[in-house]
Amino acid sequence: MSKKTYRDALNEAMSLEMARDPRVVLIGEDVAGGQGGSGEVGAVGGVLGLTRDLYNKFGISRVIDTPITESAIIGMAAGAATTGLRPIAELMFADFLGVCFDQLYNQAAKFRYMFGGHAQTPLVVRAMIGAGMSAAAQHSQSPYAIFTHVPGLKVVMPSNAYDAKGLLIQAIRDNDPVIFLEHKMLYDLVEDVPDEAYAIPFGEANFTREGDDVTIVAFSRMVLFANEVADKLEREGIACDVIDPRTASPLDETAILESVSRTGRLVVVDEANPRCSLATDIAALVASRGFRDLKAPIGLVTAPHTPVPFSPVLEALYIPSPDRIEAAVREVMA
Amino acid sequence: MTSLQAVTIPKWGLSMEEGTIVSWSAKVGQAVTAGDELVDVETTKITNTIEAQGEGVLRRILADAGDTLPCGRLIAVIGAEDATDGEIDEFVAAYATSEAETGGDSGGKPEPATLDLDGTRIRYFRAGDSGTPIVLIHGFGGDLDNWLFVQGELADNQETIAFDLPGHGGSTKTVGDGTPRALAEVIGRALDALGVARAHVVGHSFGASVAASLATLDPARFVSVTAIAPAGLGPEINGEYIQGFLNAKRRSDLTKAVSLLFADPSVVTSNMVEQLLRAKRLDGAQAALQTIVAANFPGDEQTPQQPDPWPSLADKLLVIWGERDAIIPPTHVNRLPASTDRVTIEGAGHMPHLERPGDVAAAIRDHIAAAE
Repeated sequence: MSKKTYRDALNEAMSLEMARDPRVVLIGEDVAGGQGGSGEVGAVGGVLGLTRDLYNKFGISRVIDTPITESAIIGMAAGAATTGLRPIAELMFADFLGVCFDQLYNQAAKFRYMFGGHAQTPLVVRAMIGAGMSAAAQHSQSPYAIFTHVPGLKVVMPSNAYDAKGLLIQAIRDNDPVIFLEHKMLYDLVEDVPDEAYAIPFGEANFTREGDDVTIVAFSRMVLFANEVADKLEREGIACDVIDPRTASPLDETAILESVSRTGRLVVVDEANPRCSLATDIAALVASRGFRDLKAPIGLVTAPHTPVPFSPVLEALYIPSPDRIEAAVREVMA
Repeated sequence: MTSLQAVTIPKWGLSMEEGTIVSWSAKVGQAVTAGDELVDVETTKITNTIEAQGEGVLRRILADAGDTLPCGRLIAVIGAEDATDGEIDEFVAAYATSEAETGGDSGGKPEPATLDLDGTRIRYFRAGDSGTPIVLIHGFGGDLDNWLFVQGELADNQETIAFDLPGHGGSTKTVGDGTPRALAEVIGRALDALGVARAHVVGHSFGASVAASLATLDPARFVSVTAIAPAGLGPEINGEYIQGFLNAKRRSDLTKAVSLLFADPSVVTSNMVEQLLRAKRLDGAQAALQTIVAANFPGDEQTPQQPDPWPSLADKLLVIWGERDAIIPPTHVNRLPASTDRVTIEGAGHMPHLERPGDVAAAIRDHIAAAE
């Protein structure tokens, strides 16, 4: 056990699985790192350093640099997956998934179903989500609801370094296409992460705080904000259950409904835009199956229905803040 | 100046670095005497109570519920009723200064080490440096941290080595056929590698079966054997616990199972459960636990060890049992000769070394002293 960043935890997950299973290959822009530029090949590892050293460990046939063509990356990876390889495709910004939507939405997601269960597509698409770096409207979105909507895709959003490693290992071992979304503001989080391999099953929520007064469901970076609010309110005697579902698809409905049956109050925190979102999905789940438990209307804390602003001032207003989460909790407690 | 007493976050174990205030049971202005409960503090393992050490009035509380503070941090002041507020302010300030100067009670957290025995990885934690080493072996599903509270006390006078059994904690996940003997052979090799020719061995539950097997395999090496709530003496065992622990994948299920271990289930912290869940998720851990259950506790009953190690140990054996053990009945001790040394720990369940560490450490020390 040692302290590792979210970034290093992800690198370790890929490294362990590539060592364990020769079918695991990595495909993406500059994932080898340093090719065609100055410096040593493999030294950098992608624009974010996530794949550092993997080229040196596993060689050019398993760490494959591609042109800047997302449709080619995903098309190649999905095809490779159907032949028995287990590709990890690094796409950098999740905002670019639109370029290769057909390969995911209409191809990879459908193979198992349309071939009567005889085909499997063990594909992991890694991409970054989230606002907070003033990277503007085309590099800051959190489009997870779009993929959650599609049967045949699994959607994973780790909120901490321990989960990042365990969920990525599970994603690589999974036989279906997995959209693995890393929040760009979390890469430098440091936590205790075991050195050994371990897998966290999909569809199993994590209770990051426990309490019987109000349930807060939050995803990805928003879990950190929810924890901060829960710790603050704890001092005032308001005890929050904070649920990090870890995966949007499959969703741990049982954990959410069980918690609301104890607390009777729900606040959902979602960094994405508010319409047809995870926030509305979870609100609908509780309204349809946990309504009798509710003591107050459900609180939703989301981004507004606008693109992510470039202006740092406006971006700060766009992202759900601990203050807004706290206000929402107080409202459902009133 | 009136005498004032500091109440600080205690260091209950070698690896304890900080504690979290759960709740205060005493109020400012309340008169307290030695032994009165002041505050519950949560550690990475269980929640424990700090009691007043002397007589006085609880004059000031310096930490709120929810605060996580390093060991040694001042959290309350007890003093005479006539001590002035100024005197207390001075005391608190002086305390803060001395902590800042010494950097608190840190000194760096000692870390467990690992041995590589031809590809078999064994994690162990060594503390203390004199005398015949005391070998500590945890039970089914546990790890060396189970000795958190006891090892520190024992290590004050004597060398101690706590192991992670194969299949557990940071050790290799291969367990052979899962019998106590298979695991004892690995621990025996680990002791060879550490150059331990003579030792006392203390085992808990399934770890006591391993300890018994270890002491029978190499009788000359072990001066004494202490078995805490030993498995392997009789057929009965709480199958609800074994199956519950084995099959739990969620925190709520695991909490239910783990609560059965303790006389007072409220000592179970979410951190303890999270750590157990993390251990279970490691590659190979679940298969290892399954193999151990199949070999030792199939169908909710214990399989006796063949050959039975216990008769040959009678002379050097101490059995410690929590009177409220809900996993293995304390009456199993009656299957041993009436002359066998035994200690019953009141108010403890299956984990007396976590629930009543002081009593358990004292019993072990007495037994070891007598054996030497």
